[in-house]
Amino acid sequence: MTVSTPLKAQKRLVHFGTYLAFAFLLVIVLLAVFPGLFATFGPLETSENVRQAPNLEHLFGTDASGRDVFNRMIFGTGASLLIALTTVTFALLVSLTVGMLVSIFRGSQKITAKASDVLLAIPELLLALIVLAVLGKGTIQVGVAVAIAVLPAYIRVSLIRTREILVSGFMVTSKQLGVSKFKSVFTHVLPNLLPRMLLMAVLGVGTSLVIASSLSFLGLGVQPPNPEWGAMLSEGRLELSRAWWISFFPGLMVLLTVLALAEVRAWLKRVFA
Amino acid sequence: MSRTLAIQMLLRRNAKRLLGIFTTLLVAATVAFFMLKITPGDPVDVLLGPLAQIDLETRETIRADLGLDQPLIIQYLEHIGRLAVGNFGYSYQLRKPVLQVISENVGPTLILTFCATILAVALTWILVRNITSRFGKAVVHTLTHIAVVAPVFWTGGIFATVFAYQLGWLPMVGGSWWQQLILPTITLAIPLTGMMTQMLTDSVADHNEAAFVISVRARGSSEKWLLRNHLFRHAGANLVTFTAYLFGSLLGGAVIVETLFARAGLGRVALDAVLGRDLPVIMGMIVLLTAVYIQLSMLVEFVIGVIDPRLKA
Repeated sequence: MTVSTPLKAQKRLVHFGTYLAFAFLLVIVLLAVFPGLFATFGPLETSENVRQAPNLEHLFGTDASGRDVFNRMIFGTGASLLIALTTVTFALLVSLTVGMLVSIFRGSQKITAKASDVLLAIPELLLALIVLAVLGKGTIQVGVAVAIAVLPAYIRVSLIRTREILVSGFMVTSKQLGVSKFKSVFTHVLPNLLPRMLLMAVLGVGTSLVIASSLSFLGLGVQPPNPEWGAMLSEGRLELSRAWWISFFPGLMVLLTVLALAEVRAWLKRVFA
Repeated sequence: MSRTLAIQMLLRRNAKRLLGIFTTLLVAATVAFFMLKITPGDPVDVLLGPLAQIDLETRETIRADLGLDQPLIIQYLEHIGRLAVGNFGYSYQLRKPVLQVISENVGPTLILTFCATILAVALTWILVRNITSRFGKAVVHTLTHIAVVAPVFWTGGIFATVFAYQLGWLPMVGGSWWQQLILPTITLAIPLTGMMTQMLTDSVADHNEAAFVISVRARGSSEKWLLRNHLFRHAGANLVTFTAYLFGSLLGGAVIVETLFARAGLGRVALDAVLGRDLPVIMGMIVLLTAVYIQLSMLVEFVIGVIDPRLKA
């Protein structure tokens, strides 16, 4: 509750960090779509220069089989991003559908909230592990596991926002004007629900990326020798005592991607709120 | 209010809560049971392992012995009944009761998560209370932003590289129990500290112009007094809820740290169970975690009532 609003200079919406974040994300997307343009070695190309520290020829060093870490990272970008983006799209679609269904069948609000609460009690990573216990390990399995693991949070937010919309003045008015429930879902609920969910999805890509990498790090995801950030982390874990660079750089990429996404989310919030 | 009425209300409230706990646990147990059922593969095969070539008759005996020849509904009721008396079944891999597997490994994880939470609370306390200069705040702001999103496997890897392998200050294998505890604790405490610091500073910023803050300023209290006795107190209830939630999530998140630092613990048990498809262990962990979560939320309710009597229901 603000009592007085002192006159302040208009806050800047775009920071230096915002430009950096967008530039970084652009590079990531380029790497994912056209890995061949930037690569100097093949992702599976081995050499006798094993465990070389970062140098001019191998910018990020080489791993235990003499493969170039920098190039493997480039070729791994696509797989890592694909898993993150698919899971977020899935969670987004499901949570939007749930929000819309709940606003048609209003009686189901409580039970849906309860169900998502029970699932929210289990930490995301553990939920993913439970799913993997049923499905077994592999790339697609990790995708499914991550999608299920992040879903409860999306549904929860979607339900909260839907409830806000349903009790708001314009919904009451539209009901009095005789707009049918079914029609108001598309004209009132969805347009108000979508922005909130999209905002969540921006950082959600980062969350999915971290969970997927964590699972791969545990050896459950993309199987070697295929390049993927999480899989590289897993390979690097066993080499930590001899060659820190194998897992340091893929981890750094995960961190920077999430940071960039967080900045984009903050920027969106500044612009629209 | 008459005394009997008060007692009645108390009973009704607790009965409702107990019912809620019961349903949550039942849902967890049910999910666990059906998960086991939809998993492809014959449990008898998993149980037999290398002896899977055994003749059909013996298999049927084992199946009957496990109760797997019963209809699904009977199996389900039996499963719930067993859980009710604390029987979580046998681990396929370790050939031990699940409860024993869990109780053997719960200690290290509890110590780790407890130490990490304490460390994080202490660090947050120090960061938020003592850093008041503009530059210091900017540094803390940037660092917490990074700390919140930095993946645990990355920070942990850096700590292991720097302090264990390069500097050799701490052993990765061997060493006393407290030497082995230091790096995992710090690794786990970092994101926690970031989140708690962020939450506290956000709350302070949000309420900087609230009525109660303006009235404290108007009576001429120092900013330090205001911060310590009013703004932090105001954020206290939320922070306790948040810390408890984080503590609960740490129990699961410990799996990364335990794998990285090769520590024993629940996380490792969970990972091994996933790798070996040891479903009874996983089911036990689900039910256990749900129970822990319920305990925590009850504890939180109590503590919040002490901090902020307005919120006491």
